Amino acid sequence: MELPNPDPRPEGEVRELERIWATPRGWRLVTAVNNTVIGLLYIGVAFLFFLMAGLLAVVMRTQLAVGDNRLIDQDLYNQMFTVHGTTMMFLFAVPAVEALGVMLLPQMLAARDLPFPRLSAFAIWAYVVGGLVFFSTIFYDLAPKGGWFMYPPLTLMEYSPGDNADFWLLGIGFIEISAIAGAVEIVVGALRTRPPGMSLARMPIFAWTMLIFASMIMFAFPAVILATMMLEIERAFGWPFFTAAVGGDPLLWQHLFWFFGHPEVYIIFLPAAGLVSMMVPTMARTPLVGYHLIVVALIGTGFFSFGLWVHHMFTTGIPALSLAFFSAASMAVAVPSGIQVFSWIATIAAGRQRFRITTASLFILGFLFIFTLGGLTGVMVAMVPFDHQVHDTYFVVAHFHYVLIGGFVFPLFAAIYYWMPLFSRRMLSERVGRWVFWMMFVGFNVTFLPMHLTGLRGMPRRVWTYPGEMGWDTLNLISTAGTYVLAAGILVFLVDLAAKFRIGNRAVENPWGAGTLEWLPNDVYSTRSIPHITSREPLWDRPSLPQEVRDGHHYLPNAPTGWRETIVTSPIHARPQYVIQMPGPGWPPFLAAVFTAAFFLLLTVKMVAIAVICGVLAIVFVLAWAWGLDPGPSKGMIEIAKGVRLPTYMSGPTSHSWWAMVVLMFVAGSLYLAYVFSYLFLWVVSPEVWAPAGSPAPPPIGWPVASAALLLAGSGILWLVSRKLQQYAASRLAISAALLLSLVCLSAAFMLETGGHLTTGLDPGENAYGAMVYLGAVLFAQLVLALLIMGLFTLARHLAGKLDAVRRVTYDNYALLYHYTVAQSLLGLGLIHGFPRLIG
Amino acid sequence: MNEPIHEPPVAGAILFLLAGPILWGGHLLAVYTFHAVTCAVAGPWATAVVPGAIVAATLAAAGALLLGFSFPGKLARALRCFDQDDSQPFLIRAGRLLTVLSLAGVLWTGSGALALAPCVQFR
Repeated sequence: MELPNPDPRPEGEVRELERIWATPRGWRLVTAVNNTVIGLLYIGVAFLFFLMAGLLAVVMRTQLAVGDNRLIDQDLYNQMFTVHGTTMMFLFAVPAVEALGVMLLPQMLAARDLPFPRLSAFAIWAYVVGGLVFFSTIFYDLAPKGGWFMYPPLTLMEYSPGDNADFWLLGIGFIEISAIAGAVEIVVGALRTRPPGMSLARMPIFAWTMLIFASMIMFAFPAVILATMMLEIERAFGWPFFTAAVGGDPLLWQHLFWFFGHPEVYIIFLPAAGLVSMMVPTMARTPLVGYHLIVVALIGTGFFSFGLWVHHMFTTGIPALSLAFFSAASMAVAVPSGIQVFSWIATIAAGRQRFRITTASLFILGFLFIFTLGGLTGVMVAMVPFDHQVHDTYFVVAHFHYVLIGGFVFPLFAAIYYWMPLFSRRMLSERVGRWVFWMMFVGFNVTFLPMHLTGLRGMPRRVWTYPGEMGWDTLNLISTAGTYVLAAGILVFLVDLAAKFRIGNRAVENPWGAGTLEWLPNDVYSTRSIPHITSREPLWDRPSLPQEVRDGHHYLPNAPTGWRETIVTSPIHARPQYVIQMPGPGWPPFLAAVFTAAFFLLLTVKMVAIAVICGVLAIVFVLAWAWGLDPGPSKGMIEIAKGVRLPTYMSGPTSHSWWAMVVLMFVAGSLYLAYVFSYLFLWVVSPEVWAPAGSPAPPPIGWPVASAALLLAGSGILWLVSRKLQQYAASRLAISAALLLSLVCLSAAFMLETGGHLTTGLDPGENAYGAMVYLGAVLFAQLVLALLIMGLFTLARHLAGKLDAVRRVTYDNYALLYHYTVAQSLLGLGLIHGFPRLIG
Repeated sequence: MNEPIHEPPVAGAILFLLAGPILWGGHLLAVYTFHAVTCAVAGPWATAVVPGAIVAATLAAAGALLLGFSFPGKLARALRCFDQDDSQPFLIRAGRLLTVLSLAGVLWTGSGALALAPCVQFR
């Protein structure tokens, strides 16, 4: 292969890269946005939550060690298991996966950073602040008590008074938003910042898993966001979505929650499987066996996981045939999972040399053993009759800990040992690591294996104590002893971590002899030059690559715009398309995150006025941050390799910004589809409260028709603005007027839609129908508010001379979301006004 | 400035890759929704309609999946994601394997209608 930059590079380029990518020092460190810095913070805080939630588990196991124990009382126990589960799922597992994505993905793709570094920083700081406040509620008796799944009616105000449940609903709600922000970053990063030549067929498996992980977040999280909105609205304002007496249904919560909750398991597991697929070939010193099959298995698992949610509801009285559909899907998902396990075993067996046993390898082997057992019990509980026997018993506790600890925690520890040299000047001790592994492995199995029997003997979950004569004492005592061994293993790991981990450039370049790009020579700017890729294990197939990259013989060996930049490539074949100029450190993302967290948390404790001020400040800082984006084409074309010149700016469907907005529209669309499902579900359950028979009939047809006409007019205006921008034909005044008019149309359409229902006397607190109709208006209002802010921001940029025919990313984003809103609202008008007429 | 290097539309490639799983998902959604709504609102004649309709939907979905598996090139052309680049065999192979997985899922799901009473609760 001919080198992209064969000639010697001029002196000073590396110093320039170091200056541009330098990490802020001292108190300005919180403004850092570089993935290696904020990624470390991200994984560090996620691990802190793992330790804290683990400590809660130790206390709970101590309480359960013997029957009739009174170490802690029932109320605190309820708070503990709720915070333990919630923290492990929302504050540890998902953030830890995103942290690994933020840390490792740019290195594996040899990108200088992910495309929206400030978005990553925002997501991470919102999570850090919000997560710590949420966890702290356990210390002042304010923690939720309804389990990590928060089923109504238990969590309705009637049965859970106080603010405890609200901390879960609002706290977790905005952490989900943080996860979605991370998902946007990862989807666009994996598809658009790969190095030239790294087609989809050459993409590292971890990148595939992160892409699938982020896509699953896009479609799974909106369901639970809608559910948390509905439950919080019912608790705060009495709109009866889940109150059966007036047409609501608690089962709706279960549908929405598990439509998120089951894919959540795979959201956690698939990236861990991706990590294993990266480590196994290195330790076996041979390429991964069945790369294609693994990709297929990952996509299949990710997709099938959305069809399993009802298997958490087998005992709720759903007709047997429906249960059979989901039972079949639950068993079918074992097939792609099995493909991966066999592929890893085949890779270990295929190695020309013996599989290298390191601490990371031990954790991988431990994962294979534990996860396979968890998978097998998963097939058992996928069978409806068996599930009826063990539902809500410790058998299920044992099953999901085998899946989640085996399927995520063990691979995570393997990953820490394996990738530690990327971020630390010293490696962790292999000798101590083996002690850590064996203590964790033995401790885990001693804890959870007996729980299968405890469950089969009938011990229910979520009980704070049990009578001593039930015959559960010995098994529980063994489980508790195992917990202490497991905790001791983690403690030994922490001691080793404290002794060895020192942030800095790696001491050994590629200690495991791996073949993937993260092991190229690295610095704060990632790799000196971005390599051209011709295989899946480029470091094995081209041993000279590290030196070539270090010497700047590949793409973009310098910083021609004088700012942070990376190459954007095409999504399928990774052909270079343009160079993205990325923002550097800054206060706005940090402050926006802090005020966003404050907004949600203050709202939880009903300090509405201060919450609103914080919300406004959060928006102000987001706008301040956005003002510096969209730099325009001022830097022109630059040379990234000999004879290869690329633009430094791109708008339209090729730009990364467009892609991010499309991802966001998918999220909004998923949320709205969850709403449509909820509306129809409640109608099926309680048709007697539906209009026109059970509630006031919808307003006359003129109201929705006028609303629809205004929406279409707004879209038409923006279509005209797009054309005028392209032709330079319109005056600044005309464009400004058109932008304002589009906002007026949208606001008027919203007011007509809401006003129409108000004129009929429909009350959202009366029954589920009224609540669903006004919830539709709430969802509409969210988009209207977002568009008002974006529209006025676009107008301000236009008036400031920062919007024209070429420099138009801000406008494109506004127009895209506007058109989406029109489409969603038209669907909503059809549903809200058409459906009652159809059934009436 | 705004003229990128072109390649087949990524939406087409994603649709091609996910054609099998999308059909599987559509089939599951259709049979579950039909079954739940019919049993809830249709009264006694639901038991007569449900099994046949589910079997018919299953056969239709299975037929579509078999077509997708047998003629991947035509599907790729229809979705405008066919080109001669090195990713093409990868996409085709992966898409076909996903179709096989989906076919298994569809048949597994639909087979319940042959064995179980349509609207009886499992308690």
